[in-house]
Amino acid sequence: MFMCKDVVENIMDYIDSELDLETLKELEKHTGDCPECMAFVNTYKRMLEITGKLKDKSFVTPEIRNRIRILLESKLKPV
Amino acid sequence: MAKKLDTFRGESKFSSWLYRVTVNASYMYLRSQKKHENNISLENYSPYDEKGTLMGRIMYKDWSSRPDIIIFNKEALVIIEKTINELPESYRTVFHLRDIEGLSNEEVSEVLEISIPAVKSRLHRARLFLCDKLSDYFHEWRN
Repeated sequence: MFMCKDVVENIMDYIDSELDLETLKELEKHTGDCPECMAFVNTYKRMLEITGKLKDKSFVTPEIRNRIRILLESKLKPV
Repeated sequence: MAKKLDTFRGESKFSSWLYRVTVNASYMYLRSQKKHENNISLENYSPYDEKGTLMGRIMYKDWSSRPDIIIFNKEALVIIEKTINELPESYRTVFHLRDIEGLSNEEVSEVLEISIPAVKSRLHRARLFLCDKLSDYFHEWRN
């Protein structure tokens, strides 16, 4: 039986549209019947909306910034 | 303050002594906070109980329908930044790379030299932590 725990543990794949059809149906059915899970999904989505507004902020060390730069440069190099 | 009252020897003004005791207590508090800061374990962080059910807390604190003017104001963004900085570094880094920089799980795995399941696990716990903290904040704020 699909439970609140399953909604929580599948939320990332749900948001990324990566759930298989059966799990997706079960999750949506449970969420439709469970106001607590509905609130969880709604606040989770809202949180992502907010954190998506922080594009100009940095929460990592200069070393990690450097690694990101190297990764991005390697993607730009012609093959 | 009352506990420290017996340390006042009358060698200085009472106001100076009180000031010093207050400053020391503040430093002690800040030091204890710093000790706990980023020291939390998120490995088993989850909002559900041992039976796998959510406990009424989330609906009670549901802030998702709060208008944008409240959610996206300057003060709220400062709180959000502060909350992100409370994450332990390994979780904060994954969160930053995925949700702020917009890298894929594969790219984050490459940058941090960790497995994709580890990326997903850290991101999941980081988001749950932030969701929880922001619920506390938005629920309390201007209620």
